[in-house]
Amino acid sequence: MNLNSTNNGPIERLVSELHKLPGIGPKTAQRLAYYLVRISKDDASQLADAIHTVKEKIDFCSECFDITENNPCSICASDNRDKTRICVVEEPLDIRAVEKTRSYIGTYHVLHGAISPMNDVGPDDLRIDALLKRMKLLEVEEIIIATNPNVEGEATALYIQRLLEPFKVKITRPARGLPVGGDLEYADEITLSRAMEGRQAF
Amino acid sequence: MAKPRIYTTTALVLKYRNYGEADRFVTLLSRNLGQLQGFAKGVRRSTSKLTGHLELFYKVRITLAVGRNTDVVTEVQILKTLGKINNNLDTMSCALTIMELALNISTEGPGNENIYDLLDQTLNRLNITDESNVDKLLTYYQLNILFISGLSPEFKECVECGSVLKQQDQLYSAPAGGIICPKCAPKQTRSLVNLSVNAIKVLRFIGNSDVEDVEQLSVPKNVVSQINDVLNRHIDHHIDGKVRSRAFLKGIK
Repeated sequence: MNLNSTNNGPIERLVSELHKLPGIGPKTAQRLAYYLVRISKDDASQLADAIHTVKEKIDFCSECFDITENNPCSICASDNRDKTRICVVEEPLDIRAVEKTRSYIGTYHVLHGAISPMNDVGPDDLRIDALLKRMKLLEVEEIIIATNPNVEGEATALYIQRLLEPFKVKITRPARGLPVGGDLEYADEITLSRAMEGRQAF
Repeated sequence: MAKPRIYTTTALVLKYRNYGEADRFVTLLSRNLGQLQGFAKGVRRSTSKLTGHLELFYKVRITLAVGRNTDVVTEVQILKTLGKINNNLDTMSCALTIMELALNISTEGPGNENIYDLLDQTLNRLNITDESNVDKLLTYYQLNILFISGLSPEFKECVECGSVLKQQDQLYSAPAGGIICPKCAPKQTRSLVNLSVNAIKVLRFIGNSDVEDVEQLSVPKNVVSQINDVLNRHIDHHIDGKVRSRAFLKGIK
C-alpha cells in the first residue's frame, strides 16, 4: 500500500517500519514518521542508538528467561532471593508488576506466552521444558503459577500442574478478588464468588 | 429495515484477540444474528466494567453500538460462566475444539440457530459431566454439527453402489464421504481407513441419540480412537479451516 504518494523514498520506508510495531496502524505510523522528520538530528540519533543498544546488549537470562543485560539476571544472581520458590509468569512485564508489590522474594520463570490452541501456540512454543530442567536441578519447595486468569492462562496452569505432579512440590495460584478502585456491581460472577470464598476476618 | 444503531443479543463467546494496550476483539455466536465481531475497549484493565465478562465459553447478554468498521461493545451481562470447564484440562481442551468447529462452520446473519443450540447444549453438558464422558461428547457434537451443515458421513449404505451395508468391518473414505463396501473397495484409488463393526454401531447410535443417552454409553478405548480418527479425517476434508485445538487435545492425552 502506498501510504504517501508524494514521498516514495526514506519516509515511506520509515512508515512501513513503524507500521510493523504492535498497535501502530498505517495512519499512526504516518504521523510518527512525520514527527520524526521534524525532531532534531540529536534526538533522532538517540532514539536510533537506544534501539540499537537494546538489540545489542539485552538478552534472555539463562535461568529464568527474563529480559536482562547481565546473564544471569539480577534476581537469579542475588543471594537475598529465596531460590526454593519459583513464580511462573507469562511475560517479562509480569515480573515488573509482581516486583512492584515488594511482597515476593522468590525467583521467577518466564514462559514467553500462554497455551492458545486456537492461535497455534502449543506447550512446545513455551519455556516449559526449561522449567522442568530447573526443577530437577534445584530444590524447589513451591511453584506459584501466576499466569493470567483467562482460558489461555488456566490451560497453561493446568498443563504445568500436570507435568509437575511427579515432583511432589507445593503448587499454588495467586488468589482472585476485587480490584482496588473497582465497583462491586461491575465485578463478574467468578471473581466475586472467589472473593467471597477467600474472604478474611476484618 | 435498517439495522438499529444499538442492538442487544444473547451470544456465546467463541474467540478473542487482544489488541493494543488493553482492548480486545471478540467473536461471538448469537442465536438470531449468527457470528458477530465486537470491539471491547479497555476490557483487559482490572477496573474496567467489562473485565471478566467476555471470556471464552461464557454465555452473555451483550449490547453493541454499530461502528464504522467493527461494532463496539457497550454493555455485557453474564448469563452463564461454565466455570467447571476451566478446572480440568481434558474438558477445557475439548471445549476449545468444539468452539473452534463452531467458529469454522457458523456464518454471519440468521440461519445459525441449530449450531448455537448444539454448542450451548454441549458446553452445558461438558460443564457438569464426568471426565470420562469428554470423548463421547466430542463425538456427539462432531456428528451433529456435520448433520446440521449437511455434511454427515454415510454409515448405512455404500457411497459407491448404494447397497445396504452388512454387519461386518468396513472401509471408510473421507473424499467419498462415507463407507465403501468390500465389493467396491478394490476399485478405489482413494485412501481407505478401517472401521470396525463396533465403531459403526457406536457412530450410528450416537448420531441418533440424545446427549444424555450418549453419556450412558460404554465404549472401549480402541473404538473411541477409531471413531475420532474417522471423524477428524471427515471434518478436515469437508470443512474449511484447520481445527488447531485438536492437536492440543491429542497432545495432553
